[in-house]
Amino acid sequence: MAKKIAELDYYDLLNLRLDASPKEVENAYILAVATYHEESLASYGVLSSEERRLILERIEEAFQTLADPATRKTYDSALLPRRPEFQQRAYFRKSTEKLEIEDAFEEEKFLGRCRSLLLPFQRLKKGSKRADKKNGRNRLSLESGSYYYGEFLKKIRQKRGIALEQIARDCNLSLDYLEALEEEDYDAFSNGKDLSRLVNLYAKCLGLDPENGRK
Amino acid sequence: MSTPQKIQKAIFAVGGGKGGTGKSFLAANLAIEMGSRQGDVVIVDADLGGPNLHTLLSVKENGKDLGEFLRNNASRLAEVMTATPYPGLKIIKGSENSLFLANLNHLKKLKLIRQIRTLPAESVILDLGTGSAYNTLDLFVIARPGILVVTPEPTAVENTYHFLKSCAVRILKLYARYYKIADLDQRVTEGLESSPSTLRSFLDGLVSRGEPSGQILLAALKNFKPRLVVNKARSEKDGLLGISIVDVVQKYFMIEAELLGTIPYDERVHWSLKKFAPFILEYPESSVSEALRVIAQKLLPGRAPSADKNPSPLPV
Repeated sequence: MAKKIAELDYYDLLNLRLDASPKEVENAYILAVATYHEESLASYGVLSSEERRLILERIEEAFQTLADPATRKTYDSALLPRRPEFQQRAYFRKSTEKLEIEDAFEEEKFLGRCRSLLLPFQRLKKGSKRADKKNGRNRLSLESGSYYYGEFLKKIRQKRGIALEQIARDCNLSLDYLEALEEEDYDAFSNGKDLSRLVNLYAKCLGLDPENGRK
Repeated sequence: MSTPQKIQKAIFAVGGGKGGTGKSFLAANLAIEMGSRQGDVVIVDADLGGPNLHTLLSVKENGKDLGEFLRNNASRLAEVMTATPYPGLKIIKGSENSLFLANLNHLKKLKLIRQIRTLPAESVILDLGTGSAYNTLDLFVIARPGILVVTPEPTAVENTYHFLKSCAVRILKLYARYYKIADLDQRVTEGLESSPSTLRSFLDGLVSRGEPSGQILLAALKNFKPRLVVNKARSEKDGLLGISIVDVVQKYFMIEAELLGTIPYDERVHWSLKKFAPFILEYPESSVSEALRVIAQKLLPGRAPSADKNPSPLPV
């Protein structure tokens, strides 16, 4: 049964996996706003005003929930009963004080064990990829890079009803530079460092975190 | 002459609403790449707006074309196949009489579809050209998969959505007639063909009224899984456009589309066309050719699915 837009959970709405990193959540949010903004090329001629308003509201709700670790945890707890394919396997079930055989990792070969010892945080969680395959969603990895394009940031600002002058005042940034940034007129910037600094400041003013996933 | 055997094959159709997006360019270069990789590829020029593939593939005029088959001058489609200068690739040239092809009657169209499916080839690529005529839509829908080509321009995006909506309406109506679901044909006509509403709002309306036909229509669309190629991308953002379009299609057209790849803009495409030289051979190291090879590679492993579990809406 196809769900209505209002019934899609936040992960389906943003095409995210349950274990999406903060950077993936942010990139997915930026891309979603850029997709459904009224001036978007991608949704040109498709949605009615009401449909657009509805999905943009949901996208904002989704981001505000998933971007905050505390609210995300609460949301995930409420979601898991409805999405059994997202169930995290219990490595050690406290109630029985036994390691569940079905939840144990598959037996690793020698090289795999060495890798696990050297890189403990890269251990593949069992079932995480299977979950996506099972529910048939094509969840893209958006973690690489940043989506802080001027045009995209402008759409987020407009969607939130924030005037550019307000951003300039609140964040102590030059209005001229912000306009050039939004129009992607990069000739106005003397060097890449200025541009990068300004983009990150602007993103921070919009509630995005440039530090997310910084390599 | 031996009876042609029914061979499992992949059938790709390159289509989409707008002219100038690069459909024939994509079809021709993909065909050359796939021909060189796996051999046994046939490309069919079914462009109702005027055949061009023979020009792109440097195939001389020799009288044998699709029209010969459709006018019953050839009993099998395979008889009008022509060799090309490229290894592993043959062509069925388009008909000069494009009006004839655009107005095929139902029986001739079914005959064409049957013959395409039984062509002695491992892969078949159909270049459908522009527009949303019923015959174009039907050829797109039978493909596994159909490939839409869009450029990052409002008119191209708009026409792509119009084409997809037309495909969906075509599938729904054929499904309703085939399974003799009373009134559904009329509802689809009134709710979609004559209305700007999205498939989602139309289906939501059916579901909210408690009508079971909503689920039936969703099942009809389940096997329609087009692929998307964004062509002439000039920036990284244009590359993200494909992801966005796929999302819109999934959420508002209830269709599981997939982004196949993004081909960057390259001025040299123009020059290769003027030289009658396929771009992928003329500039093999370019990022355009690399993108074409990636697309070909994605299409090849998934080829030739076994018999569909769900019947096609087109009874052949």
